[in-house]
Amino acid sequence: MDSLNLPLNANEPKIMHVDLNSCFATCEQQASPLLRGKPLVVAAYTSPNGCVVAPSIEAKKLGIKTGMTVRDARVIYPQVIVRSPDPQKYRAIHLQFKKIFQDYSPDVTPKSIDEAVINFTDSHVLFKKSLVEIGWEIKRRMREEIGEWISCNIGIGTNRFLAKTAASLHKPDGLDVISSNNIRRIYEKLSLLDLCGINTRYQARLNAYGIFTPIQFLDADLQRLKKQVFQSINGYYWYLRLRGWEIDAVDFKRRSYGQSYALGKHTDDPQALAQLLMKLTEKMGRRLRKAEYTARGIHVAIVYKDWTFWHKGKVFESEMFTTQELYKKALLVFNKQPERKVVAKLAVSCFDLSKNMAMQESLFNNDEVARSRKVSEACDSINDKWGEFVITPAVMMGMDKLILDRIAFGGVKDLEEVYAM
Amino acid sequence: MLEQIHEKISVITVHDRQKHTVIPAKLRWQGKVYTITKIGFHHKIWDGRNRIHIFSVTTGAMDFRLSYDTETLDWTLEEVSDGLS
Repeated sequence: MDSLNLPLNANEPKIMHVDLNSCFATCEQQASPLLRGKPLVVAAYTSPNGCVVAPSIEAKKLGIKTGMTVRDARVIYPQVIVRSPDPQKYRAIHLQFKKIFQDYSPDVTPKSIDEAVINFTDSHVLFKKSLVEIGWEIKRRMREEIGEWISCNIGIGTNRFLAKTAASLHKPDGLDVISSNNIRRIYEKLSLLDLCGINTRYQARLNAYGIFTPIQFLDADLQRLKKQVFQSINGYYWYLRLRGWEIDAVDFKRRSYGQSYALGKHTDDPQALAQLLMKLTEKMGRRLRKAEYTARGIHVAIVYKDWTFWHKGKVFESEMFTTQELYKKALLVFNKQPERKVVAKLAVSCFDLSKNMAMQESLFNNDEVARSRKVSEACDSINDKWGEFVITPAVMMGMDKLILDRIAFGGVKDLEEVYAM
Repeated sequence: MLEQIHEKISVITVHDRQKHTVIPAKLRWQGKVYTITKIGFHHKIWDGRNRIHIFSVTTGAMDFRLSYDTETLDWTLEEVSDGLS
């Protein structure tokens, strides 16, 4: 394998990557026509410290970027319009564009709320048009069927990596193809950081071995990438990926369920934090039970106001299913913090999942466990029928009505639940 | 300015049998009638097992977010915005 001299993949490109432009902000502009053409940001909170999660195309042109605070965005453009996220709207749009894509191929893989990969390998033969023509048709249909303000970037390549790279070449509203005919010309115009998957750490590592451009990366031989630069199988993966061979069509199984919340009002009040932990655990537990999993591990992560970070995970002997079971363990882990400081963000997740609902029979208290699980399922049914948090554990009494609904960035696992609705 | 309202209102709707759509055409709020010139987006959400239709609409001068509860048949004006801040 080390002496492999693999050519560029010269097959016809059959992978299409579609990426909605400035997704959340564009969705808001679609819904509210008066916002169109104006610098707008969708922020986690509209308060000055709120984090910008999506600037509109107009805001980006002014230099406003994802990750800035609302305060910083206002320094750049004082009249910038700020909106809170509306996850249900974005999920509705996601479902609509996924439905369009499925008219062209049964093999559609959502990569996040605003991007998806369509594999035409088996379905292209059904269409008497090129992938480029299909790409323009998809753009037109998104405007007609979802909304006239919705635009997307489309990239076509022989593998997912090249399709995604192609989709990033002409933003917004571009359509590009990368094939063996133009791949070197495209790489010549890019920097290492333009390659999806290359961050500053990887860039530094490549630089240390004399690789400063994507062309040098492409021309590096396998042995050098594998044995020296990456010192792992990753060198081989990059060798294939850069040449257009598929290495990323991997479906990862769900390994955990988690919820997190960035507190608008930072606090170190133990009661308020216990209530928030319960609310996050309840939401996580409902998702866990709906998918018919049990968990044995609990992980708690905390970002403090001073930006220090603490986290701890623990695996327990018994399987957890009810919110009470999960909460007891989460609180146990939460209480392991070495010092109590003002909390800015709290996250809880459960892992070590098991699909098999058959419980390990315990010698003691088995009736009690079975009963509490039935109660838990009954509570879930009530909440399913009458709305989220209609019936809640007592510890949540008197709690402010926090909105815990958020769209995970880059995550696709949460979308399973959207499709099941 | 975006303002949260959450007020029950009266709405005139238009049903198009061929397109199989029902869309809000006019709404009355605080004694004034607003003519809807465009539907920005329509989506549906669940509140428990209750289906709610959300219509984001505009009059050209104001954007409104309306919700229609299919259980109670109530229209609610959720938000009003002039699109300025």
